[in-house]
Amino acid sequence: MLLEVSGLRVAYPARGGEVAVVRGVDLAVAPGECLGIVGESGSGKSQTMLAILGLAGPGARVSGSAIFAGEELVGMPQSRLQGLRGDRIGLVFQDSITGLTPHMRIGDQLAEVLVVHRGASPGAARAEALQMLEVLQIPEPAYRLGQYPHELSGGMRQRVMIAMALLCRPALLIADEPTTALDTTVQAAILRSFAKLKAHAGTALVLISHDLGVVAGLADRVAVMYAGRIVESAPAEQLFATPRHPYTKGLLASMPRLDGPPGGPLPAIEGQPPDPAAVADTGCAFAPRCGIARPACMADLPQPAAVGPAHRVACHAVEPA
Amino acid sequence: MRLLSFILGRAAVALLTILVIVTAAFFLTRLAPGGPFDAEVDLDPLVRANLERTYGLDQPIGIQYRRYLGALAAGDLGPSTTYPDRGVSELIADGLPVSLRIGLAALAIATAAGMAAGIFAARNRNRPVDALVMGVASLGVALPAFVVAPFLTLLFGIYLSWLPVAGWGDGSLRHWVLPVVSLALPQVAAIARLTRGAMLETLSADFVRTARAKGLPERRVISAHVLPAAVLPVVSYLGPAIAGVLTGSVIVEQIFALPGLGRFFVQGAINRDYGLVLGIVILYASALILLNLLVDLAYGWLDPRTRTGR
Ligand SMILES: Nc1ncnc2c1ncn2[C@@H]1O[C@H](COP(=O)(O)OP(=O)(O)OP(=O)(O)O)[C@@H](O)[C@H]1O
Ligand SMILES: [Mg+2]
Repeated sequence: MLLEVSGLRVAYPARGGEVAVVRGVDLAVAPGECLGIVGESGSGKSQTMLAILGLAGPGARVSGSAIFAGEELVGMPQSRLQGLRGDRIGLVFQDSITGLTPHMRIGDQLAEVLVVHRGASPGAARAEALQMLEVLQIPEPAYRLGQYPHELSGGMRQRVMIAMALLCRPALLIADEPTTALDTTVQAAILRSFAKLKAHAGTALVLISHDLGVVAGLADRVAVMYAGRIVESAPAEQLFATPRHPYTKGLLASMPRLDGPPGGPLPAIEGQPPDPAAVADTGCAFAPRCGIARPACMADLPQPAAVGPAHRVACHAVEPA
Repeated sequence: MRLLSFILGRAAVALLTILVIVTAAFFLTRLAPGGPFDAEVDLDPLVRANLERTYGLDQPIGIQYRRYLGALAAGDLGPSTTYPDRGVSELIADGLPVSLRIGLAALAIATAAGMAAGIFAARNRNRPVDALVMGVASLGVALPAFVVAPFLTLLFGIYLSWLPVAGWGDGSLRHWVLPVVSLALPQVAAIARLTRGAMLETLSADFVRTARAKGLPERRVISAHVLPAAVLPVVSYLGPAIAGVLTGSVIVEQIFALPGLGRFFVQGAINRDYGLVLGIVILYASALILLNLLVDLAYGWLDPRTRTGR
């Protein structure tokens, strides 16, 4: 495994103790594989990935384990993590519009990655940056290098962010909502470049999205997060064909389908995702919104259990295989 | 090209502004009760009339105004009634170096010390040192120069006898210290508070997280990505800071008896020395306008978003 996360927990200090926003996450990504992570807003998708890279917010308490290429990331000193970030592990954030430094030219922002990690000369770094912009099919790439972020469209900025994350040819690319807020053609182009990257460079990909369509097109495996836990994980085809957790079923039902009945509102899952401070470790966090909840769901925390090859579900209503 | 037309446009506005200021100052000083020769008690009416004729003060105010502007356009600031043997230009040339030196020194210290304190506080946010630095800064903002200056004089000049109490002496550093510190202190405090706030805001910006995600060393994150953005509010504040130092210098020069413009200005105002007051007003206004233009240019240079023509 390239990345193996187990029992990852992230908590922030709060009045009268702490609030856990990630509550024991297990994940694995093989080299060259694409793992999709889906879940409603606030389920802890971003925090999981930020925490293992030492980028969780100030005061975060991170515990558990995250082994990347044989090295434990949790508790690793920042100086070592800096060496990995941007080099072996690329990151693309969801806020691409504000994610580039406003007072720095695109070329300088790209080049500094190579200067810092590879000790490249500014000239060589620029040449490589230019090449990467070409690979990502940014129009007039040489001209872009001299521009400032505000002079670029949102789609172009996002591709610059992706170029930045790929400059050092990382073994793992973590893309957090890389296509949110972009129009569908740009979105499709970006997803195509991810697919190419995976096929040609063998880059493993963690793709975080609440758009199941995006994940369906690209992911080999999918993990579904709810209230800081993974409630179901399975190979992508299996998850979309035979979802087992009621939450996954709800998510899939709310997804527009080409082969579904036309018109009519899409069924949404009733209620709101819970506030992390209100989630207890007794009982299933989804139970209050679940159509098939039973008394045990309120009392006992369901543990993930295998229901098929590489298919695990944490639900009292699902019979383990 | 765009820069040049920008500067020319600003220069035109500046000239107009100065004209308005001169006009307002001209009439306001003359509207104030009293006149230049009221101080001498029992001045012979004949002598007074003679003096007034010499300075053209017997003319209708409209004509005085036109004459003043005419002379001003030719670069002549006219005579001083307080120092009859020296023109206003000469007095300004005397006082300017002193005022300029303490003013610029105060600004430089305020910017450097204020930013250093602000950055330090931000990097130690919510620790006791942060609270200490910000507490002192709040005090500094609240205390005006006319409170700080006598206090410093008392402490360093009288109790400790480390520094001269007043005067310019030979112009050596010892004589600068207290005036410059009194002048700079309120600005140090204001800039420290601004810098801390801007640093904290910038540190949580998305682009700073990107910089960290790139694996840049923390030093580089701060110096290349955070500081240039965090310095912008400070640069905008420099305009008001310059105005603050200018006003402060009038008071501080008076307290420390420094032979600068501020002293001449106060004396000129007390003696109803119209020419001297107007001359210094013009100089202050021009300096303020010029320095503000420089601040705006610096801002444009630091923030590319304000630079592009869109
Ligand atoms: N610095 C922080 N301090 C306290 N709580 C935080 C902090 N950062 C994030 N959280 C909380 O952690 C929870 C999980 O956030 P996270 O960003 O991981 O959600 P997400 O699944 O990525 O959602 P989205 O789809 O909206 O991006 C949220 O409730 C959020 O409010
Ligand atoms: Mg997120």
